[in-house]
Amino acid sequence: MRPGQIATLVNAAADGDQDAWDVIVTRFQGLVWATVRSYRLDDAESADVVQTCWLRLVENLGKLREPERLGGWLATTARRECLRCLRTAGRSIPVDDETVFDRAAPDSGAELDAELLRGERDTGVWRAFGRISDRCQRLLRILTADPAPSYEDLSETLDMPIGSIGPTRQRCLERLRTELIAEGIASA
Amino acid sequence: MTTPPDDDALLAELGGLFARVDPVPAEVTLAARSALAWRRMDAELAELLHDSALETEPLAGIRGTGGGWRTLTFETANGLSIELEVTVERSMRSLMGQIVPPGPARVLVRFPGADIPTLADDLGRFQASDLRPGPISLRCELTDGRAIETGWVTI
Repeated sequence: MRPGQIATLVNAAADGDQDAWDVIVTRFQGLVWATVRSYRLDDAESADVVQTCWLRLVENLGKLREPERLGGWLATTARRECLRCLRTAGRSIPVDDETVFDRAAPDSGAELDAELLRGERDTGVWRAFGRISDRCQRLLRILTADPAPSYEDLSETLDMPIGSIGPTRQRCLERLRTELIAEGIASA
Repeated sequence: MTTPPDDDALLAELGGLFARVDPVPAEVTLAARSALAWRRMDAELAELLHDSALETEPLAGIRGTGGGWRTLTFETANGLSIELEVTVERSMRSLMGQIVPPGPARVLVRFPGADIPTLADDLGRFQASDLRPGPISLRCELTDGRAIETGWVTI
């Protein structure tokens, strides 16, 4: 979707155009969901935080300074809501510090319905993913959101300069590959 | 055993895995679509100015207890403010509010899909309890006919 199209959709939605709003939801809900899930909120918390993001967008439709950067705005709103949710619940905040990239996450925290994992390979990939650092997990989760977020949106979502995304992505995938080998589902 | 997949293949595999095991739930999509119905038509917006849950240090007494309180301040462009204290107790939330300048008002605690009415007394104080967690916005209808609505927050 071209940036100008997003601004047009935002303006139409601000006037109450439901079709335009539905297109916005379809375009960005994957990014918002991936962002929220990367903070390991449970299902109910995730649903609440996502809904708050959309409601907040509705109240800001006419006031966005850069409507073409909507994805970044939504994901930033989601990230802040997640931190609020974690703090209110008295839970620890996942570490977001670049320097701990190489440190494995203390626990995978991957609370997924195990029945949905198809076979050994899925299970192995999932376990390997759970062992890379929080920040790598977050980056890969958000990178693979569907539809794929733009690099501008990613940069804002991950609070990372655009130029760092490529090298970081490569490094995180390298960590994941090492874990896949440890799982025995790939050879060195 | 196979050779490790290259970057693009590995990302594609991960993307497929997430899409299968953790897709956007249908009810989340439905709720997102219905959010447009909450456009503010006839009220002034009181924007969130302060939220204790966004302070760097968590409030004493909150961390690890699964309960605690949180203070929020909303303000309109005209300087009317709404102070809100949210008490968190496991899966229940209670609100104590104060409208400034003080005065009576009809207050609606709005959840998507449900409004819970309450009243602010002559000193502008109001409360609501036994609320479930979720996004809320407060709508305050003042005696002079003005309506104020706060920005949405998750309680």
